[in-house]
This record gives sequence, structure tokens and C-alpha cells, in this order.
Amino acid sequence: MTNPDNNFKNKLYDFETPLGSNVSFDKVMAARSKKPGMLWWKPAFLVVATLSVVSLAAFFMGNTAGNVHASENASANTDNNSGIVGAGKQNAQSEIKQPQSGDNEITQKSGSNDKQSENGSTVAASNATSTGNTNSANRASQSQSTKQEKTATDRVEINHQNKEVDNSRELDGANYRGLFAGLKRRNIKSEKFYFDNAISKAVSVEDRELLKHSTTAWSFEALVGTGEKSYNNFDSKKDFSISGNTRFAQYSLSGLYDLGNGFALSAGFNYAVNIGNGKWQATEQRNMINVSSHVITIVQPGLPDVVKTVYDTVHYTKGVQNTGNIEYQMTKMSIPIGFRYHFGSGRIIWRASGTVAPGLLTGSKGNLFNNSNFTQMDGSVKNKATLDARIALGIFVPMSTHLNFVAEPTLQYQSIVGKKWAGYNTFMTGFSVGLVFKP
Amino acid sequence: MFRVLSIRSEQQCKCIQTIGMTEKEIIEGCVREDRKCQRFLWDKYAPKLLTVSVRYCLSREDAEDVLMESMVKIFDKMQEFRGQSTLETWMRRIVVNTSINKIRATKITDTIDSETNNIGYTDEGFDAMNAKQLMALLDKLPIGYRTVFNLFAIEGYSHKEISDEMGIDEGTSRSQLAKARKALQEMITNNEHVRL
Repeated sequence: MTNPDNNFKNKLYDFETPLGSNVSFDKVMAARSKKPGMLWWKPAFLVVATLSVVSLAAFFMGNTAGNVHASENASANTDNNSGIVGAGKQNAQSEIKQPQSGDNEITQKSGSNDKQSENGSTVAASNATSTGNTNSANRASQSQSTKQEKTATDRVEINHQNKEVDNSRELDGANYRGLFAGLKRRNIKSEKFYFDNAISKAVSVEDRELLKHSTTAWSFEALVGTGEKSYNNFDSKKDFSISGNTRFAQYSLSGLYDLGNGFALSAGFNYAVNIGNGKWQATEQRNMINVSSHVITIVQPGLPDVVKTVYDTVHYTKGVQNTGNIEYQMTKMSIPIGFRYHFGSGRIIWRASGTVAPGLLTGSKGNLFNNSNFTQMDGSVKNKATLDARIALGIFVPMSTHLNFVAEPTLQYQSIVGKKWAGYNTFMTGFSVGLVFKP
Repeated sequence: MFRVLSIRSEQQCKCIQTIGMTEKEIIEGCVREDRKCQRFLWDKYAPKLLTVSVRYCLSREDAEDVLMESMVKIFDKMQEFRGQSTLETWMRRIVVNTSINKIRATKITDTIDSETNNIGYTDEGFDAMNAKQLMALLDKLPIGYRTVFNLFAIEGYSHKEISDEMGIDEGTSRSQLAKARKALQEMITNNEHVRL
């Protein structure tokens, strides 16, 4: 009795299945000509491009809305001021044009009012009319005098209020065009900045009202990043060396919990694709024998010449190089845990972040290689633990009350636990863009 | 450690004389992207390789996809064939790996069951069956049983290699094999092969 397994092996090993119409040699050749190696990169690029376009569109739309909002607020402030003093509107405008602070400012404005006495009288008369006092010119004059004093006092308050407006106008300058123009709407000052806590300190009065609805400490971040590392380590003295580059595309979704003072904790989910392209070089040390020969003629007097062939044997070692292509693709999923820290220089909000991401290699194909050997055409490298670390420093641009744009250069280290994959366990520089949504 | 076959550029492929063509000539011709050599390789090995993929995949369509994908890899990577095994073995391994990647979504978890080891697995009944009947019999096995049985019994993989290949424990591999044998024996006992 034999092992029944042999029945299967003997009968099936060389069994040929007729090819169907769906497979043919020409189709294989057509598939090869398509060069699908880099196709995976296109979706990543598409996502980055889409995210950038959406971000810019949201930014410009938000910027337009912000300007309208600012003008409405300015109008409301002016109306309130006119209730305090009739000439306040003009005075406020003149102060905006000359935002010099201090007592001199008040004096100058008093002088300005004196020069505009005619106008002031009219206003005083108007105010007197509105209060029902229409009888006496002296009383009107006293009233005018009293109101002028009151006007001077109120102007101090107006000046104080308008200082904020002045700062806002200052931010309206040419330095705040383009990407950073979103900051001007919030009148962001040189303070620690992060979401509600910090924003409420930093933004102007009118914008602070808009932020009241935002009460949660949570926000959500979507990032897309790419990176690359090139290496040229060909060394004929080593048994095995590689040269090429490795790239990654990483998609990340995280929840951020605001701790205040610019700090936030983060946790989320990463999906990343890595590819590597290059060449391997194996140097095999071969023991070589070089045999050379030459002919000598021995001349002996009285005897016939003797012709001899002499062989010289030299043993030496020669390095023989073999090369081949490297091409692999790996996918992995990981859980990034880290922090974000936001700090401002007064005009730009910077964001520093650091994450550690334990994960799992979920797939691989191509030629995988370590420091001494490589595995050919093997998809077996999977379910291996990975550990990545990432730091980044970039800009954090508020685009609306809910949406913020993030762009940051990154430095990332990636590794497979327990494996020393050449070209994979390495530092890579990259760039990430994304959006932070604050409900 | 690495042996790359020497390629003499002046050597012309003698694919017209397909009969008597050596494996080395086929490889060298494919490395040179000689269409006739590639065609010869396809004609010679594609039906066998399709059998391999059919044994692993869940459907004929999947098997054909695997064959196409494998042949693209084979032609692309021919220059990296190291000659440590025969060309056919190397190609079969590629097809097996590609097939396993295709069916990888099917989760195989099991533990060894001592009961399933004690089965009356004999060649009685299998002897009389031809290749098509055996293929049909294998096709009725659950995917996990079938994959492990194919790898172990037909491809000659060890349980260690199977566990590495499929990302499962060796114990699971042994258990799947035992259950596959038991299921095959039961089909023979129940005369299911008659109805195939």
C-alpha cells in the first residue's frame, strides 16, 4: 500500500489544463507592455492633488466670506460709536488713519474738533434737538461744551476700541497675502494658539463671538504624505550591496484631543504603501589559478640544447560581481499615537508633531532583500510587526472656523521588527499635507 | 551564492528548432526578450501552470488571472532566475505564490485535532481515478484544506514552508492536511467520485 498522496502527485503534477480563450500569449505580452509598476503611485498623487485643490478652494472661499464679515462688523461698530458722540464717526475714521496713541492723540483730536467747531455746533444742536432742549443758545453752548468734554472722554474709549481695529488693519497689509491671509480675519496675536482656548485669547472681539459654538475638545485630522530615500551603497568589497531608492505614500486619519496651551494628543489609523526600486550586487570571491608558461632553452657545451617549457602557477582571489534588479511593494497598516504642539510667531502658526506607529505588514511582493541575501518573487513576507516613528514641523493655517490646513515636511523612520531589510529600515524625508476639522 | 547565467549577446536563439531546445537556451532567449523563445516557453508550460493555479483558485477565472499575472512576472524576472532549481520548479513556485496571494483573503485558522489524524487514508479508490476526477475531487474541498493539501502532497512543501508561505502555524497546517485527507477519504467512501 502506498501513500495516497502520491496518487495525486503522480497524476496531477504534469497534468495539463487546456487554455481558455481568456488567456493567450499575446495578452501576456500586452500586459507586460503596460508597465504597471508605478500605477500605485498615481492614486496617492491624485489624493494629494485633490486635497490641495480642496484646501485652496476652501481657503479662498473662506477668505471672501471673512472680508464681508469684517466689513459688517466695522459698520456695526461705527453705528454704536455714533450713538456716543455725533462727530465720533469722523473722529474714529481720522484715528484709524493716524493710530498714534497717548495723550497727544487726545489733544490732537480735541484740536481737530475745535477746527470743526461748525460741524460740532451742528451736531450739538442736533443732539440738543434730540433731547428736547431747544430753548437757550447759552444752554446750547453749555451743552455743547459739556458734550465736547464728554466727547473727549468717550474718544479715549473709542480710541481704545479702535486700536483693535488698527491692529486688524495692520494685518491687512501686503505681508498677509496668499496662504497666510486667513490669519488676518482672526486678528491672531503673538500668543500660544490652539483651537478654542488659545483662539479665544487671540482673536478679536467679533470673531470670538463666532467661536462660542465650538465647545468640544476633539478634532479630526486627515493627512496624506509621501517620502523618499535614495541610497547608493554598491561596494565590491562586500558580499552583498544594494543601490536604488525607496518611496512611500501614507494615508492617515487621526482624532486629536485638545489639552490646551497648544498641546493635543492624537491617535488614529495609517495605511501606507512602500515601493523599492534598484539593483543588488553580489560579489563572489572566487579562488583563481593563473597558469602561465614560457619556454627556456638550456645550453650545455658539448651537448645538444634542451628546450623546456616552464609553468608558473599563481593562486589569487578574484571578486566576481553579479547584479540584478530590485523591485518590491509592501503595504502596511499601523496605529499612530502622538502629540501635536502649536505655537505662533504672531503671523504664522507653526505645528510640531511626533508620532510612533506600531503596525503590521499586510502584504508584499517583488524582490525583498536583507543585508546579505534577497528573496526572489516572494509574497510570504507579511503579518510582520512594524514600527514607525515620525516627526514633523510645518504650518497650520486656519481657513474657517471649522477647517484648518496643514502642510509639513516630515522625517520618518520605518522598520520591520526583527528584520533587517536593506533599503526598508531607514530614515526617509517627506512631505505631508492635510486638513484638520474642528466640529 | 548568486549565479546569473552568462548571456552571450552574439548567441542567437534557435527557437525555430524547438525540438531539442535546452532549458538554458529558453532562458537566454527570454532574457534577450526573444519573442519566439517566449512563445515557446508559453506553449510548453502554460497548460501545466494553469493546472497549478486551477488547483488553488476558487474559480477558473481567478486561475486564468493568476496564470496571466504569473507569466508577466516570469518574463519580467527571467534574468534573475538563479538556476538553483529547474525552470519549471521556479515557475511553479511563482504560480503557487501568486495563487496564494489571490486567495489570501480566506482566513485559515485551525488547531491540530488528534482525532483527524487517525483516519483510514488509503490509496484504495484513488488508484482508479484519472487526473480530471482527482482535480474535481480536490475542487470539492474547502479552500484551506485544498491549499494545504496541494502544497504538501503535490508541490512537496514542508509544513514549515507552508506555515511561512501562508502565515499560519505549523500545527494548523498539519491539521488542515489531516482534515483534507479525511475529507477525501470520506468522498471516496461515499462514492462521491462516481457522481463527479
